[in-house]
Amino acid sequence: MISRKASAELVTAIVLMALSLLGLSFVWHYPDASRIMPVAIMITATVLSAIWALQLLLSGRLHIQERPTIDRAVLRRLVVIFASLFLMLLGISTIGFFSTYVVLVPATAWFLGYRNPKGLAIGTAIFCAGLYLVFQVLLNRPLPREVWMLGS
Amino acid sequence: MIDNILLALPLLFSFEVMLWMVVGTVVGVVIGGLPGLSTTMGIAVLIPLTFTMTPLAALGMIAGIYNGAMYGGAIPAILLRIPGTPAGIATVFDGHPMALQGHGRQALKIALYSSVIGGVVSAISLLLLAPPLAKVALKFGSAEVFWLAMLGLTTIAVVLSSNAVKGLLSACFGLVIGLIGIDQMTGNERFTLNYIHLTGGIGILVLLTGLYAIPPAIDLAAKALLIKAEDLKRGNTGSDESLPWRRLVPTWAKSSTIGVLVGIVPGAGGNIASLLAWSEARRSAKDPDRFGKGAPEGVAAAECANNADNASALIPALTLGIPGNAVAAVILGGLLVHGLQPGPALFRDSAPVTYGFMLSMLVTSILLLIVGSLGARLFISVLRLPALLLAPMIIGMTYLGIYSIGNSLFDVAMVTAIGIVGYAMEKMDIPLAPAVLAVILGPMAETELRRSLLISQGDYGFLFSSPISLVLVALILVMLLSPLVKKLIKRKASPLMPKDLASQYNND
Repeated sequence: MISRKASAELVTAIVLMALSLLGLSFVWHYPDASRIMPVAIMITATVLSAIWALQLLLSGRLHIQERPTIDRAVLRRLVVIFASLFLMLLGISTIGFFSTYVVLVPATAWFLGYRNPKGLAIGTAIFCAGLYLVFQVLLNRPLPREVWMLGS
Repeated sequence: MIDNILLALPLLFSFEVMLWMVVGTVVGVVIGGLPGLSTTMGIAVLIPLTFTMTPLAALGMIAGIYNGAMYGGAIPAILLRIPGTPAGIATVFDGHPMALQGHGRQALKIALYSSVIGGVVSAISLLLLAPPLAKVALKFGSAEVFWLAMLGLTTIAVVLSSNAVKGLLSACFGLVIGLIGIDQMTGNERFTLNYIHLTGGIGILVLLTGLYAIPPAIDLAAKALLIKAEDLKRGNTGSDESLPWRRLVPTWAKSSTIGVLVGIVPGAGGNIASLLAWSEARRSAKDPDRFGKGAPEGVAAAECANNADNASALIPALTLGIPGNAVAAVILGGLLVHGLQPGPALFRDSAPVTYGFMLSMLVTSILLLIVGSLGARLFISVLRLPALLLAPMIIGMTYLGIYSIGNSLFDVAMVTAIGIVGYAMEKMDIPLAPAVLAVILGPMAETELRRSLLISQGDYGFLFSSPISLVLVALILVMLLSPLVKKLIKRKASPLMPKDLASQYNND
């Protein structure tokens, strides 16, 4: 068994090295005036990621025995919050910011483990009203139309 | 200098700027008080709100958040033994024992007074030291400015990371982000992958909010910190005891000096300042055994030093573009959002706003005394906010804020992507600040490099032709070699912390 964090770092270092080399092959063909910095950055990134990989290989961290310590509750919450990142993104582009937040803020908190209906309702109401007040009333920013406004 | 201060004063004391400084200070204390939320996150989330403000109102609000958050971190440190910000670690040592002994109210009062004094001393240092330093830096030519930008990047990349390689890779990531889009000089597309949305580049604000707002929200949700209501009652324990002024005044004098000096050193940060000040207070005390068991001077030293680090960290940031800590790097991003290019030219081209910002660090430090005294109970009750509800709210606010600036859903998607990258970087101990600084300094460095090559007709030797350039190159080399020195210092510094706390925080 190998250290999970060290092996993740090693994979990252190798991927970064590959990406930097790929990037270098692209920027190499930029016109002269535009390529000085990109080429320098790509070469530096390639060398640095190679050093990082080498550090990990030489440190012995890869061979440390480590018992799997996955906390299922933490993992579940991570899945919920990552899902909410994407659902919010999807929601605001289809049904609008406030409609999305009225649904997703309490739903995310509920699935994360906050099971206080009164707290959820009051918190969401204050949050949405506060945002509406700041962005629509005070700053008057143009936002996508909400789903319940589409008919009007 | 006096002329510029006099020019800035009427702007600073306008109703709008004063209002936003108060709002910033209150919000800062709240953010600092909530474990899991950081000053950088607070500023990153709220910068979009400042978009429609005048630059000085925006910067005044940022100054308020900065000073307020540093004090706010003391509230959970004292009441819950959880520092609200990394700089609050040393406050735990004596603050929490004081609260357990029934002196919670006194500990909070000492923390407030110490923060105010540290903040005021630091702001005065900023006002006195930054202008002459900028004057010197203004004499730099294009080659020197290029090396200065490189020094800034190297410094922050090396000092803010436990592994210099990771810090430098973070800087490379930021440099690539900064180059995305159409090259202003040649009109060529770079790193756009033929994607039309990328031709305009990725804004500093998208990067700032992505890196500093999303990862803490994910962490907040994952850790699901629960706070017991009875722990918060400690904030009201103890009568209105008078403060031990005789012991506190010398502590404030020493700790504010330590804080200012540490702040000037790039990358050191408020946590180092407070740990050093706490250990110095213990070392110089007649009865050092009291420290770690509820000594009021311990709280005073830690809180005074971490606030004294605030404005002084802006000295190299504003004058040379080398931020003293991650917050200063984010503030440089804030300057850029409002059309102010960090560096010595700030003092020449935007003097009233720059001096106004420095003065706002002083004014918000004083405002903190009023806000902290009047709102003590409110700030304690803020700790009741459930972290699991706050996490989706932070994401929601970030999305709305970033959309409101460019009316672009692509920007929101970019914030999400950069946020996930930022979370992964944090998990792998890759510092975020070098990436932010690289986006700020990268384009400037490239412009100056091109200018130098144009002047010298393509001769790279021109970059090494002046004594200042050579000194800067030497400093870059020293910086690159400094991790070895850092390792030696770290070995000596670790006994500063009580053993149980050292194990708790070193494992983070």
